[in-house]
Amino acid sequence: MKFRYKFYLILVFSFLYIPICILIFLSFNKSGMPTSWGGFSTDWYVKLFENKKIFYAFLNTLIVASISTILSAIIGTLLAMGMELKKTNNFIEGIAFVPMIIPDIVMAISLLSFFTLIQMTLGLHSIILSHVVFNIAFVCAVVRTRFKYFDHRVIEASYDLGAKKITTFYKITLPIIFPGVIAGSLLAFTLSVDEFIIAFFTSGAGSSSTTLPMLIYSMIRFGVTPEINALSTLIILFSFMIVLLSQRLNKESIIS
Amino acid sequence: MLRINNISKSFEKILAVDNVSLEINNGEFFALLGPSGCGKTTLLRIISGFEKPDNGQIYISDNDITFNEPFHRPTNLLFQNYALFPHLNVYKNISYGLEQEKIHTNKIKLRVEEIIERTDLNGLENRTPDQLSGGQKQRVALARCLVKKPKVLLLDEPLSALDKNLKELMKIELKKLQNEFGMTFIMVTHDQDEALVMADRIAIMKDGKIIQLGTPKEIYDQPTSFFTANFIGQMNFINAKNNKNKIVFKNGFEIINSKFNHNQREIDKVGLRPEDISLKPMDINNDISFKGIVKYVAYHGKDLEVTVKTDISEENIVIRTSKFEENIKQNDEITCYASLNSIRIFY
Repeated sequence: MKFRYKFYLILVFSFLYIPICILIFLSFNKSGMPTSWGGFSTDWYVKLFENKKIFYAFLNTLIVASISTILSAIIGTLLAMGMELKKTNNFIEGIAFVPMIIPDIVMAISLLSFFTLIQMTLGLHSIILSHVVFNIAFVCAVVRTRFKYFDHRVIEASYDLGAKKITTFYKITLPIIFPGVIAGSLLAFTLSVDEFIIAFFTSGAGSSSTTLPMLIYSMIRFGVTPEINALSTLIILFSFMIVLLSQRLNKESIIS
Repeated sequence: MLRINNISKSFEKILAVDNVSLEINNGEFFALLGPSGCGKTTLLRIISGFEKPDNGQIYISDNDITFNEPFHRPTNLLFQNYALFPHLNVYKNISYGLEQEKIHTNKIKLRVEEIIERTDLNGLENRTPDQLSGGQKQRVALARCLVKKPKVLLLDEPLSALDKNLKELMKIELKKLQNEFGMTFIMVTHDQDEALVMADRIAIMKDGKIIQLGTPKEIYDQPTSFFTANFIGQMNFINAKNNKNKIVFKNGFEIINSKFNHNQREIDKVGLRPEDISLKPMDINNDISFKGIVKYVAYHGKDLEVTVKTDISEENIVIRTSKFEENIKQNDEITCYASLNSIRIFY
């Protein structure tokens, strides 16, 4: 029984992770061909860091992810607070979560139409705004799980002890939900880093607003280069670490 | 002094508090007692500022505080579930309220340390609420309120989360603290024992109204309504009618007493407390007596509960009697005695 259980577990995880493992493995392949092993090498990583185009795309991605995360963390947290502390109805509950499940392509097209309609020039700022739209929903969802373990009476207790609303927010509400805010922000950050479709539609024509996923997409049109394997490996490592951190924070928050 | 003037509050269509007026003296231990849904908690939340009344005013020392925010009134509330700040330690929980006032840090320290001493929380200063037992949590919640030296301390079902032994201990402890601090305490409870033991005065609430107000003795000995008599302690209700100064029971049994002056009002029921009925005559001149057959005998530890089928009432009559009368058995024929003074009349 126990063996069978383990067997299925290994099967599922193999399905999930074998392609990723192959990618990581190939990023250290000296020959550069996916079909032949030419020995271990870190050359592709060195080449990657020498590539100016990749560096600027990486910088753009960082700017987009950071700013959109900060904005969506603030708005998403306030939204979560409003929904948890005030009475809401099913309709509001629903539309707050639609951006999470709406297909990216639909969101991308609608955002592009919207920006065109209001005649906004496209660039990094429009990508940032677009990412904020879907990240709000994710931050809100994570922060709300934190509120489930939050006794709303502590807010009343704070008022009762003489603290005004602003003080209560900074000294009581925010510190208690803070692990949730961080966890939500980390999730938003990773989502923003590897988001492609929406960024592709809302970036405009200039190459100055190319993000990393967009660059990778344009590069693989000429075949998957070992450089991309190296880059992907780094992104996987980075995402993995952030997800781990986010989970850990949320777990701690639930225990306390 | 706390004065409540014609306070009403409804939620959607339900009238939670219905035109309540009350005066509570300084240093009084006051209990709002009633079943759940009677409006007692709503009234408490109106006094603490978490609900705004639809009508009426609340004055503390002649200042109208009806629409003051909770952080602008000289009251503090001891929450039923304590509502301690989970991310702050015991010390910080207690000092939080003082930090909101413009008080010098050294003075805060002195006052917090004093209250920690008086509520017996020494050595727990650095613990967080999740490292405390139920009793300790309650003492922290209490200390957090007392350190603010409120004019009125409001207690929402303060003993409901404690186990039985701790409950008994805290009844005395709360009473003692109230005496020491000389504060006005207003307690909400659904437990008649708590109200009787702790309070100086009790207001019985039902359907948003105060239906009786008095000392524990007045409430217990002279319930003015069927509801109060039923809610506080146990009571045998016997259907009866009146004929001038006579009370006539079902089987024709009559009680004649000049004390009963009915002013032409129809008697509905008379009440007799189980502990006021004896199996031995007490005062020949002042007793009524009736015969009955024992249906059940239940041993309650400190006394016996005897259920008796009698001629004077359709319902069985319950008697609490000394456990030394152990020889009472089922189907025994017995005579019950009760003092005329212990008979309550309900119209």
